[in-house]
Amino acid sequence: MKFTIISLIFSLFVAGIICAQPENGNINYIIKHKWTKKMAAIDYISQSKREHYDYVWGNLPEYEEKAVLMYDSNSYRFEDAEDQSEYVGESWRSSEYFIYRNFEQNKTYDVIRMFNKLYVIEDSIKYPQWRVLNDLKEIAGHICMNAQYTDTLKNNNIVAWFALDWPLNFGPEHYGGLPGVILEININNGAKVIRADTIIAVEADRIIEKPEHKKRVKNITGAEYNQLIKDYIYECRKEERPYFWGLRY
Amino acid sequence: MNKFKKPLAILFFVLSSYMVFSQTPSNINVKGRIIDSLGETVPAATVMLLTSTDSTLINYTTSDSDGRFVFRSTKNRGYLLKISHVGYMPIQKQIPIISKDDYDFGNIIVEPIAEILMEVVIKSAQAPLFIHGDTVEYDARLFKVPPGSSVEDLLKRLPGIEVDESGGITTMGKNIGRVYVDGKTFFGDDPKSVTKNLDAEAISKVQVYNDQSEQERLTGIKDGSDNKAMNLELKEEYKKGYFGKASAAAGTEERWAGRGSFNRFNETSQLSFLAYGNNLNSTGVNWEDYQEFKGSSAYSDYDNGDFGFNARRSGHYSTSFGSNYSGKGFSENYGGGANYNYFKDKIKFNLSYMFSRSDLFYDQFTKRQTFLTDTSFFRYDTTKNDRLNNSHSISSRFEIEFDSSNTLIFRVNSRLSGSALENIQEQLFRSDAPSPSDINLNSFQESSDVDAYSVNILSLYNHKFKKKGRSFSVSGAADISNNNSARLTDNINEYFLALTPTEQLTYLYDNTSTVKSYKSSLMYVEPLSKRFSLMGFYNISSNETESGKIVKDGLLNNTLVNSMTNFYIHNVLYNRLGSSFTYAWEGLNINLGGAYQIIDMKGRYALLQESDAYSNLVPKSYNNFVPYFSSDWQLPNNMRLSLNYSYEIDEPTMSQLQPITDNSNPLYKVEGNLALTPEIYHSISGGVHYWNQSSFSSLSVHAGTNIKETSIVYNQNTVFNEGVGYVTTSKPENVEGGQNSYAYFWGSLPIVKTFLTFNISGNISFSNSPVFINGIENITNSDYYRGRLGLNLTLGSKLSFNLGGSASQNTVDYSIQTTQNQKIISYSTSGSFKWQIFKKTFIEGNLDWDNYESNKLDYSEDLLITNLSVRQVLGEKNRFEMRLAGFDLLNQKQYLYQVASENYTQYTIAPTLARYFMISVAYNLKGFETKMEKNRYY
Repeated sequence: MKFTIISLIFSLFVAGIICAQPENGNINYIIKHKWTKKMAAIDYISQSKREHYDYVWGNLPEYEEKAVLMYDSNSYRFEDAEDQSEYVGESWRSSEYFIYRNFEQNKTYDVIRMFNKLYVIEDSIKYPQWRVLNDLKEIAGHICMNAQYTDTLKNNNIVAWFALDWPLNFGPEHYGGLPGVILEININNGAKVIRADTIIAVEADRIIEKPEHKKRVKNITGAEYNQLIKDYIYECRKEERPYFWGLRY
Repeated sequence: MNKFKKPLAILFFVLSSYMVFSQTPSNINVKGRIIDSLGETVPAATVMLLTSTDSTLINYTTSDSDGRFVFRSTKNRGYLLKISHVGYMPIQKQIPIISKDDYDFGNIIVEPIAEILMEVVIKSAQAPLFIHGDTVEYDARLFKVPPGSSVEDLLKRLPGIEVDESGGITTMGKNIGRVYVDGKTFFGDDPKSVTKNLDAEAISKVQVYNDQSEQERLTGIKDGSDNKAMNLELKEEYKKGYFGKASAAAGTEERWAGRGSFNRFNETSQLSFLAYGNNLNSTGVNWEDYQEFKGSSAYSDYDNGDFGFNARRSGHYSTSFGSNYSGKGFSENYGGGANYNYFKDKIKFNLSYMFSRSDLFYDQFTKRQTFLTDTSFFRYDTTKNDRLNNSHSISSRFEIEFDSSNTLIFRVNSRLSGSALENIQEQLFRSDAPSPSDINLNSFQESSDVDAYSVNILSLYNHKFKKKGRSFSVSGAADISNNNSARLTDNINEYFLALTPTEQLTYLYDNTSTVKSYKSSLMYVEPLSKRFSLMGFYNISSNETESGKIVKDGLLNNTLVNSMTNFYIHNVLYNRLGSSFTYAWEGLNINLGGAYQIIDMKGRYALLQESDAYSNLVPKSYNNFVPYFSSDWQLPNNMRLSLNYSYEIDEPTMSQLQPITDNSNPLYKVEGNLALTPEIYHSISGGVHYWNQSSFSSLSVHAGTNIKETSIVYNQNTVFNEGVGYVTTSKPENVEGGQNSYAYFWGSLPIVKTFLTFNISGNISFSNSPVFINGIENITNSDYYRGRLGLNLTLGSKLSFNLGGSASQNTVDYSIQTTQNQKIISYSTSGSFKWQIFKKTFIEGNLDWDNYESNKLDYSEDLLITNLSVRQVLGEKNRFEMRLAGFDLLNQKQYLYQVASENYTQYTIAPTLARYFMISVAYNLKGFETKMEKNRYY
């Protein structure tokens, strides 16, 4: 009897968590970059160079950025948080990187500056083939399960942690397609980690709009976007130049 | 028998697959109902359908209010069904390929996650434990135990684990029968021997899992036991690494070289050793080797504690190996050192010792033409110089980040150095037109010994306030240096134009100087809004130089030379209070500021004896307001623009002010000038940098100008003294005007990406500098242009070429003797190749042609330098390398330098290391690369 009561309370508690997700809100993510791990994952640069790089630079603090995912009941937009300079006179232009998904229309409308051009990528929503694993951990108050896939374009190992109590299928950047909101993305064992920091509810009638941008853009499809990346990485490979100096990791 | 097995197997396979195909539906429905161990329904559980081969997610749903779920019309291919829910352990079920349309699991029972674990998981922001399937993993670092605790003490703190009095370990009521360390058994099978003996400090993770499942994984056979096992994962710092290299080389012309390095590292420290020696004119190690030696502290030498803009970068001290090699003569060099870095949590520590010794010998010939107001004369210098330098330095740096808002840096550097010099020089003065004739020959011999030490201490504290952008910094530093030298000079001046007795001067110098400098800086930054902030700073520094020079006449029984002996003490006090206003937003940074500075100089000096009464120099005080502007702007298309302005005030040095004449060289005397005022100039500079990632092209342009209000120049007065020759007296004086401007650019453009790249660079500079020659103002206008074009050609991964050519022209015009205006032109071309001819064999070569010409001095020289080498990587692990190299195959190399300035033009030639052949053997613990490497991009 005692157990039933405990489990009842427990179920209520769990149900409470599930109901607590705002229907319209912002997820603030913190993006951490570990450059030596990025370098270590570049297979076309000699082992000795990568080890040298790690030996000299491995002790640098991680570089941190902030980003925000704004969602409503049928769409979301992910973008870098506005200017985040911490020191006087060291402001950097935030990257033009906007990911927009409309689930109702099954459409992407991403605005990305890449290779000195502003691209708008319009396509249907596609997801990678996730492999779901067993590990559990807590992120921003949610129990998350992990899943992973290999990004064959960039040869990156992507590990996602999705919330078990938040059955929506989106996440930071373009990552999505899991049975819960992705609260952490870990690329190449810590080379880049996007982790949810806070989740904030906003007024329920907010509608997430497509990202605004200048008129002069180049419109491409998802396949064309992938081809651009593929060509660029091919050239970087030939030049033995780390691709991430010129392309978002 | 075997012959039949294969066809039979194929037949069986075909048959069975036919049977499967014929009997199984292509699509099926999967359903079930989820309940917990108490029979309660579990709604809102995530139910996932994964492929059974690699767990790829195919479809998912959630259980309804009755705990039911269904996947309709999904391919009949065999699946894993995975159920997860916040409150329950994830569960997996197999779905085989079935022969009917529905697969109904009925009730699926899920187990609640032990509450105690749940609590830890939910409450902790740092996730001290993970659950991997049936494994519970604890992050040991997050469970604090006192230093010296055993693993047993650590285990007692882990939720869900119990340790009884005898040391037996249980979890969730089950006994832990085995303890592994990094997956291996440790001290036999008794778990207590591990948990009691191993230090908790060494553990990073504790994993608890079903022993049975581990064995199943190995053998595939269930043994029925119900034990748990524990694995202790060691921390990274208990994992070590090392690398090292050694090489030895011997060549013709008695050339040799050797070097070795060894590095040992783990997660929290780096220890390295380095030693080198050679007679190949390489006085230090290259930057890459230096980086490897200093490891993670290679970039932490740059703190100087000077805050604010345009601060005096005094006392800056950077550690490096060896001295810069000028390119002339022959040198024998040795060096070495040890470096230790420690970094853990918020502490960084570096300690390093370095030693270097270099013995440089050179012969040199210089021809110089000096223009006076209406005449000119030539000087031919022949020099033999031998200098031995050695130094020992110890540097240390300690940085502690108390928390995210407080950082302290403490640094101590010290250096002990010495040098010994022997210099023999003959200067032949010869008159110009109408009839060139020898005037006089000044023979000069010098030997000196110098001992010096310096100590530099710096501490720097930074505090970041809670309000973003608000910060406070303070620094304090002390620099003390001492220099003792003993010097003997011998001067003989033979005058040829008349029968006058040869003049000889022999002096013994005993110099001591001590510089003590103390400084401190404060800075405070206050953010006014998101985009605006205000910075205020204060710098104070006090500098005292104490110097004594005792000169004795070697030809007069070492009696004191009164006119040359002097003692002085100089004090400079520098105060600067300033502020700047900053706008920083979205890549646009603008700083606008100003400072008020007061430079107080005072000094006293005594001639003859130290004990004599000191005379005070008239104190000087320079008070100025200095404005400042800097800006940079990052445009969206990878373009960066910058523009800077500063107003610079450089006070004269006390030795320039002091009314003492330095007449150690009777033909070239330097006077002091008490009336000097500071040099004041405006400095403007700006640049554009553009980079295009997709085409790999880039272009940078940087330009600037310095406009002088008043500058300090050494005016010259040269007179012809009958019986002596040309005697020059030089005196620092203020002159109005003067300007120099410069621009340089470099760019790179791939013509065919990854195959052919074109690069271009160049620089231009214009200067006009006034100087008084024999009382008449001479304005020297110098225009310099240089351009270079290059091509890189990469033919596959095994062959690459570089070609380049450059030309430069320097036009120098004088206002007093326009007939002496001149042009100096030089051309050079270069080519090099790298070829991986076999898998482990590489050929490299280069060819440089340089041409120097000066019509004024009747001088023209062509140099053709060629180098060629072959290297072979050897050994199974590529740890050895043999190299055969020929340097300067045509034996033409020499040092050449030409310059035209103020009122002279000159060129210098010095022999240096020319043709030699060398064979070398190298060993690399990590193995040599057997792939031709491209350039570094970082």
